[in-house]
Amino acid sequence: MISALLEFPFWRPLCTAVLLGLFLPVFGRHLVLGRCALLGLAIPQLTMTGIVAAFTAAALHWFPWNTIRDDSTLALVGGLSTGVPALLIAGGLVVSRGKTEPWLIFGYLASITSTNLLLAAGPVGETYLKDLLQGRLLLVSPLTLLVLVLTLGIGGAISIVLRLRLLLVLTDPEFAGVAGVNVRRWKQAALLLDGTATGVAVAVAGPNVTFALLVLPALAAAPFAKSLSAHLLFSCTLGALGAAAGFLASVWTDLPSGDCVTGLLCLLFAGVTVGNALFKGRRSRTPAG
Amino acid sequence: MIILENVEIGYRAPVLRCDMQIAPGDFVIVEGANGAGKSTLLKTLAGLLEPLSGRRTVGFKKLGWVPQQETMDFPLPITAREMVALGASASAPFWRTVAKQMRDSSAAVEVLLEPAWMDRPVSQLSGGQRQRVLLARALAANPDCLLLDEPTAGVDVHTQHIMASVLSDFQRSAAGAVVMVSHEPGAFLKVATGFLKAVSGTLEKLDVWERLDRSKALDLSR
Repeated sequence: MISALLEFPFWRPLCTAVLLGLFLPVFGRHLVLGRCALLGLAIPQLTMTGIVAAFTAAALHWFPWNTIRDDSTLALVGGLSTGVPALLIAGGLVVSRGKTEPWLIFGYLASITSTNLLLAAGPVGETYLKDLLQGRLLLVSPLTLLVLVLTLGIGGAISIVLRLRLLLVLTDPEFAGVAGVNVRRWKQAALLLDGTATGVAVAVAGPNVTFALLVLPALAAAPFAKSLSAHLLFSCTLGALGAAAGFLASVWTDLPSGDCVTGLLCLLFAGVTVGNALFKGRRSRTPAG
Repeated sequence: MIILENVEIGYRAPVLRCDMQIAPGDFVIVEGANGAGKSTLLKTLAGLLEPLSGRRTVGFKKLGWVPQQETMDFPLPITAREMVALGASASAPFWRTVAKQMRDSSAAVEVLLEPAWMDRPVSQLSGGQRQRVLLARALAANPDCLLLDEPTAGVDVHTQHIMASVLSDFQRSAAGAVVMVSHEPGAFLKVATGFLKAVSGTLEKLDVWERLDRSKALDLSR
């Protein structure tokens, strides 16, 4: 049994999946409880555009992109250099304008279009980017895993320590503003944390897996959690279990790991939501007394 | 102190013109018909809305805000205890835990929150209990002026008396100021020091005794 476990060739991608599943919901909670889950859709896509742009810049021998030889490092640099500013700009719109949906839809569509146009104009790193779109957990390098551990670990710890103030600002900015809290600065701090985590996660696992793990566990946990602390616990547990089960299913079925993780999380979310609706419906039909 | 000088308030067109001043120890109740601009006035006092013209000056160190219940998102998975701790986090060091925030909260919070429902989700509480949670959250932020928007809406008389007693303590012992918008200020009439009525685009100042006489007459007629 132990020797079979030791011979399991996919420990690194499995650890990556569990790490993403455990920590991304910590950041995704900001978006879900702050009622801006669409940011979780738009930002991974904008980050993906940044990664494609970094590959294009490297192919055109632009400095400093041309000095990076390793694909995964290039993706990491591209993801971070776009994810954080994109989230801050989108977050700035959220903070200043309030009505975000039209801008987020605009950003999402503009991002997909520019990604496709960049790939069509100069197909560089096509295989790598295709893998990334499918969630390339199998190809994760030791360096990217280390960066992921550091980013999610430090960002997650900061998010948990500051959770009361961050959740106050995100869920009731009016109350926080009247009480003298600098709402704009705190929202930007939350977005900076979310943007950094998203930037690294997209470079490692692609936009679909990142979006799914950011938002779906937090949404699925909401109907069952009775407190903020229970919501955090349920979200992280669902994320970690879903990511691990999805990855093992991909090994077993020999299908792309990212799509298996995303698909399983979608099933989990749908099951939880439908189950909760049926349970509530049955309970409300039960005669009192 | 909050001073509004020659202020016109509203979202685009002015709904109310006023000159007013809220000092420490004041307990002002604002009345008026629906749409008269009471809540808009409160938002202007809170700084959530800029005056269309005139000047707003705030001398208080920290304001507390109790919004209308229906504007709150209660499906959020949050207990009464956590909600009050979020309020306390607005004034305390932000790294404190929920337990630490609650340990240091004021006696008023203990009066408002009952241990029986402190750890229940806010979404499962009654309207009166939710209103008590919202008031406890505002007090936990240690304000020196409280602004309350319709805190008596859908709240029973017993809860109104508890809230009146807590607000009276806040006003007297902490020299805090209270501005309250309400259609049913019954339980608060005895603790109020001033009454304003929004009528025809202006704020009419009612004499305290005149307002109390009116309410007494109303009680007798019932």
